Parts: sequence; structure tokens; C-alpha cells
Amino acid sequence: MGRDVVWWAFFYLISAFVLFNAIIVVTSPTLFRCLLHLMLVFIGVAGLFLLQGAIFLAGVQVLIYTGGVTTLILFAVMLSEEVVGKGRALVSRGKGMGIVVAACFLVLMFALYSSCVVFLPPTYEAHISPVAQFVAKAPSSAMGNVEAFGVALLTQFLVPFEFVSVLILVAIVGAITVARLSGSK
Amino acid sequence: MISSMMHYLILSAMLFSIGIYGILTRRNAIAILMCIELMLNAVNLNFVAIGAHLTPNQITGQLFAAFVITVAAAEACIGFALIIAIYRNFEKVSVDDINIMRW
Repeated sequence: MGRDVVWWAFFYLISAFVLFNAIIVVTSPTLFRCLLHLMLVFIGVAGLFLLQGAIFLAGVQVLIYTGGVTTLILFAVMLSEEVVGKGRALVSRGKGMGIVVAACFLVLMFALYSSCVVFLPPTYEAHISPVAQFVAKAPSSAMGNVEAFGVALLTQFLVPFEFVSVLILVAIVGAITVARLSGSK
Repeated sequence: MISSMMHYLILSAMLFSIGIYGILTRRNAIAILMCIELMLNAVNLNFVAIGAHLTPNQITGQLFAAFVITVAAAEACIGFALIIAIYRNFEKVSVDDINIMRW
């Protein structure tokens, strides 16, 4: 029971951290500050993955998002004009409409979730403690999660795995082509 | 007492609507792509939470999240290459100024 309290404390702490930083990302007038807070959002989401026992995914999140995508965005920010200070057109038009649309989506999702008990399978237990689930899911150690990932990727999900690698290759070649051809003008 | 899965779903809905707000109000193309990354993270949270609670003995939810991360990385790669190309040609990254394809 005590461990459950710790779990929930971590959950609410990280959730508040993520939402706070996400709000800064969409409201800050400085593009560079948006980027730094986006990085914190990525780290917080990795923490939420950890709370669900997704150990490998948390590592991937930190490596790819916090390490890779953030650096990519940093390059884009630095290569365009509006690095620091107020970008001319960074903020913002139609704030009222944005709030209305976002609130409508939120209400829609709440309505959906409040009725989604119907869709749950009969075996689902809503009141199981999260820590008990965590312990039951992690077979022995961190290797359990990673091993399960590798086995699933190379057996059941082999075809999507290969397709994704082709997609990555196409994306790399496409990005180089797009970014270079326009420069040789 | 709501289950921890429901907490994850609500958190992810909040994160997604923050992303929607950002996409609708930002005018800088780079900021819009950052908001898209926010929304993709919300989707990943949903995948992981639902997968962990409904199929606790399988890893399918986490695998889908991993595929989403991969495709998101490819999307960010292409998106920012396009932004760089547009910036080189137009000297600006504001989506209101880039209306050459609007008739």
C-alpha cells in the first residue's frame, strides 16, 4: 500500500511537470525557450513510460526525442532567423478560437472515456494496484522488457519492422534531397 | 477510485489538446512542428497505458509506441528539411507569409 502512495505521488508530480512545460511550449514568445521546455516534456513523458514498466521505451524516448529530435529542431531554429527575442510572427492569432477548439476536444475525450467501460474486456480489473501490475509485468529485471521487445520485433512484427527501416531510409534520402536542392539555387 | 489507466488517458487527452491549441494559434512553422511532436507524445502515452492494462502479458502497446516514435522521427526529419528549404527560398518561416500555393 505504501508503495502505491509513492507511485501515485510520482505520477501526479510528473504529470504536473509535463503539463506545465507543455503549456509553456505553446505559449512562450521565444522559440528557443519553447524548444528547451519541449525537451523537458519529452523527459517527463519518459518518466511516465517508466511508471508503466516500459523500461526500454523510456530509454528510446530519451535517446531519440530528447537527444535526436531536439537537436534537429535546434538546427532548424538556428538556421532560420528567429533565434532569440520575439520572432516576428511567433505569437499568435485566434487565441480564443484555439482555446474553444482544444476545450471541445477535451470534453469530447472525457465523454468518450466516461463511457468507455463498455469497451473494456470483462477480464479487465480496474482496481488493481499499479505497483502490483508493474511487479507482475516485469518478469525479472530490465532485461525482461528489452528481451521481449527484441523477440517481438524479429518474429511477430518482422514485416512492419522492415517496412519502418525502409521508411527511415527514404526519409533520410528525401530530407537530404529537399534541403540540398533548394540551396543550390 | 479511477484506475491508473484512466489517469493516463486523461493526462494524454490534456496533452493532446494543448498541442491542438498550439497548432491553431502558432504562426511559426517550427513551433507548429513542435506542437505536433507534443501530440505524438500524447498518443504514445495512450498506447503504453492501454497496452499495459488491457494486455499486461504482451508488449504490443509498447511496440506500437516504438513504431510511432520511429515514424515521428522520420516526419520531423522531413518537416524540418522542408522548413529549411522554404526559409532559403522565402527568407521566412511564418505560415501566413508562405501562401504561394494558395490560388
